[in-house]
Amino acid sequence: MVNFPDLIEGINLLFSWKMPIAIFFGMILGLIIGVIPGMTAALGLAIILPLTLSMDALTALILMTSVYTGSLTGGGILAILINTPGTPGAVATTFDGYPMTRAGFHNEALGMQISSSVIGGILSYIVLLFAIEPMTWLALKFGSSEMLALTIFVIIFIGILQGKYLSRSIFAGIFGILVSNIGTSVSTGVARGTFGFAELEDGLPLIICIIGMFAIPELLSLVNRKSISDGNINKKNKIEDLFKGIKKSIKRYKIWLSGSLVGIFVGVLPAAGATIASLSSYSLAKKFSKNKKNFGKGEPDGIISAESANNASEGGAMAILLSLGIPGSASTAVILGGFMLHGLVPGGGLFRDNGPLVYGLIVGNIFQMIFLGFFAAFIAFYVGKIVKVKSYILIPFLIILMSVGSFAYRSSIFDIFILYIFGIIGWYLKKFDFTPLSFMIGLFLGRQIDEDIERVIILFSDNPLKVFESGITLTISILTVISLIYYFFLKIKNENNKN
Amino acid sequence: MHYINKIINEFNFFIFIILAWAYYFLNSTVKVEDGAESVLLIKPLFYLLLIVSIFTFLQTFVKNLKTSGQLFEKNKIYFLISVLTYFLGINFFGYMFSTFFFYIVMSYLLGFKGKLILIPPCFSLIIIYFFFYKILKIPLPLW
Repeated sequence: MVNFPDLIEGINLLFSWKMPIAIFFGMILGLIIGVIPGMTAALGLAIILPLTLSMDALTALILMTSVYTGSLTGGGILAILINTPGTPGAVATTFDGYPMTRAGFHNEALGMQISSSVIGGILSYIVLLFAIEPMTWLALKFGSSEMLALTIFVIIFIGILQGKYLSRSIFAGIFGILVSNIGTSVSTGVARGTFGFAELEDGLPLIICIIGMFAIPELLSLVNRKSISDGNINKKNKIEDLFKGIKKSIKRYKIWLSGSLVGIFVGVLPAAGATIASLSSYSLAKKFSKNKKNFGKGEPDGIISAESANNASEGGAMAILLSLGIPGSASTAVILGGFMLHGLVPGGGLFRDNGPLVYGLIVGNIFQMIFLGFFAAFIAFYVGKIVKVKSYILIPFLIILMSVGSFAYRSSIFDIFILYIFGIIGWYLKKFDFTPLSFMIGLFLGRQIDEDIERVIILFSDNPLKVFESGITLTISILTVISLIYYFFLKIKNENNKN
Repeated sequence: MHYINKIINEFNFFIFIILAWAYYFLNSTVKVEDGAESVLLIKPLFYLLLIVSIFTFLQTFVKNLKTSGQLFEKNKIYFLISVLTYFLGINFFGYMFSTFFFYIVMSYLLGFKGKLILIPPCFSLIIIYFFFYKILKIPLPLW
């Protein structure tokens, strides 16, 4: 399982003056990038990638993973303070984080978010250290049919739990999948639904769509308020509240433990990532909570479950990157570029030839998480003051920041208009209870479904039932059917009770 | 305005159907020489959307669902028009000028009065210039 001589040598490599400096700068840059709407971890990593050329491989990789970790946590800070997920993985954090901010408990929410992120991250790297082999074995078992079954299960499971009206929830989800298919088809190379715009041939930039859908409707509702926090507006911004939040989340060990496990499991799966991890974990926490009704209104368990899974997925994604060389997201793809820039090729050979470096990187990431707790608490406390800034200053500032962030994504003005259009779609969906989240999930997973369906059709065109020969596909499909039956059973039971 | 609100309230899904139809129409006209089906997922999704819209329509009527508050509010309309004008203005006047004027107009519309109104836009532009353009080397739109 663990090669102890390599592990000790890896830890020795970490005792260099360069490491704390790399972690410090990486973390600060990551956190700043995370709290700017529109700036992605991938963009931050792309900025620093050329700077790592003069560094040794371990320092460069530690610097890059620090940026990645910092931006994941920074995205959560933004989600809590202005209801805008800085990274796609922070979508679920907005559900309970923002209501807490509006009620004047933003520091407590930030404390919970930071501590659960740190705990989730540390747990995932510890699991990675000891179980990288079984994790890669599991990931290799997931082919197209398994991923298709899992994606459909996630969409239905989350849709059932989140929507106010099922038909509108399904409607929004289908429309999201339809919109996600804009762009060139991977299998046929034909551009679909681009309406003649060459910029849409690469598909829609997801992070910009997410920011538009969450930020613009929020700013629209803010125009009628004096500032973000309309509850306890006169309450002092105390650092004690942050610690109170940290204590609260540490006590809820069942929530962060289950969230971290979901995060690690989902993080390992190719192309699943932090968004599915945090949404699945949030939905599970809601399902088994005694305070189901408080979810979405400022329930601490909602923040803890989402954030622990969000950062725990990082360890899982790293496992698949190190052992198979498969990047789960755009950010891990840039990190893969960092490996290659230093002459390292992820895969089985990496452990054999550069064992100490791999173990050094894993242990370095555990240290990084501990540093993260301090930096993030410091930054979150000062950024937290944003909730008292007057709307007439904050709204235009956020708009110009979002426009820069959107432009920076592909250096295209067209993306700024995508931000605007998705802002209107988000506002419209919210206004008519169409569940923006269902639309978002459809948008996020639609391309994956399209690609998997095409592969499944090519593989099993002679006998479609062969899909269920895989035990994993069959189990997930049965779970999907059971979830649907259970939902309708509960719905009928509730209707009968009302009557 | 009352009637527009009423129509949108009861046929709220209709706008999505029109968009989906436009999208489907565009794709159904695509010819793929090899016979590969590029609209594989799009076709069933479009029909599924039509079926679900019937349920949505029935639900709206049967349960008499109403939207909360006004759909078109003065401040929200100002906001949407100002932001759209700003984004369009970047193309014609460049980022710096558009941002400066947008900030002042938006702040004024939201209730900021007095000479101090000039300070936040200047301060924001300085931050954006130094942090994005100088430190992170990120290009600004039509700077």
